[in-house]
Amino acid sequence: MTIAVSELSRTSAAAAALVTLLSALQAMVRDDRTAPLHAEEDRADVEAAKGGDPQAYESLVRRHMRRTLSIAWGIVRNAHDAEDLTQEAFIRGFEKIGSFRSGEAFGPWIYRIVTNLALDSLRRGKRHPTEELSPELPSASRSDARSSESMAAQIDAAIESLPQMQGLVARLFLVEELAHGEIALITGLSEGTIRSHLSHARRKLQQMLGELREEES
Amino acid sequence: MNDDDDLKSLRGAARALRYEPDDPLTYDRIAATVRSRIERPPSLMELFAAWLRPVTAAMAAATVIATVSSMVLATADDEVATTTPEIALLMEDIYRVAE
Repeated sequence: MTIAVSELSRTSAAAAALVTLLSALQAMVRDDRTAPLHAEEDRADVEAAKGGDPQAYESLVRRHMRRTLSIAWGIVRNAHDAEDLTQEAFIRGFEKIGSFRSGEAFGPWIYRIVTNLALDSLRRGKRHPTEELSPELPSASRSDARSSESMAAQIDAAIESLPQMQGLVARLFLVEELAHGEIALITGLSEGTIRSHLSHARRKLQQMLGELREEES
Repeated sequence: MNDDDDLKSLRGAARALRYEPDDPLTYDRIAATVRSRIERPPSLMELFAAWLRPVTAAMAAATVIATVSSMVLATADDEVATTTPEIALLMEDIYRVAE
């Protein structure tokens, strides 16, 4: 009986790992955000956009708008506001492209603009009601999907429970999978502060995910 | 396992939290709005503002330069006024020694 239970839990763990892997693969196919920040392609388009070429700028917009929109949504948590902020960020980006330093990465630069706009909009308090995200997960097994879904929900709840800047740093690191240096460029914080925020986020996540595991067992 | 490794192990689950709009046309709409705004010819007011901005900056710079120059000249005049009697006094001294 004990062997049967342990076999069952091993199978369930393997299925959960498979679901996570499938989810990651599906997201990679669907989304270009897992790719590096397109530095080479961006450089030529930035130079052309500096010369006033709107088509080159549109290429930059198309390359970076998915992540820009997701970052905006993560802060304001409203689809309508996130779309408006993304548009505004790219328009401002075009207006300021002349001051963009050659050799700098375009991605973190535009993410910084949208982050500042989103934080400003929160400060002004002019926004629509917040929305909940329903994570898209493969339905290989209902219980496994439910387990991954509740894990994502716990991560989201943990991030939301953190102070604003800590939550932002945790979201950029975990959800958008950005590196410390990129997060530093976006938020204007030092890498040391980012590590400290992430350490705090990890403790919070450990606590919340521990509670979730206890509930499940 | 350090903090980073610990957190990176959660990235797989956290990826589901990336925002994907329900409306598939959202991305096209964003690109179209940005395109229309950056390709729009500037209005008369924008052209006027673009012309006025450097003129205002040049006038402000000229005002600052004029103010600083007049202050420097005034200080130099004061110095001349205070040093002249000393020279006279010195010459007087020399004259007295020669005597």
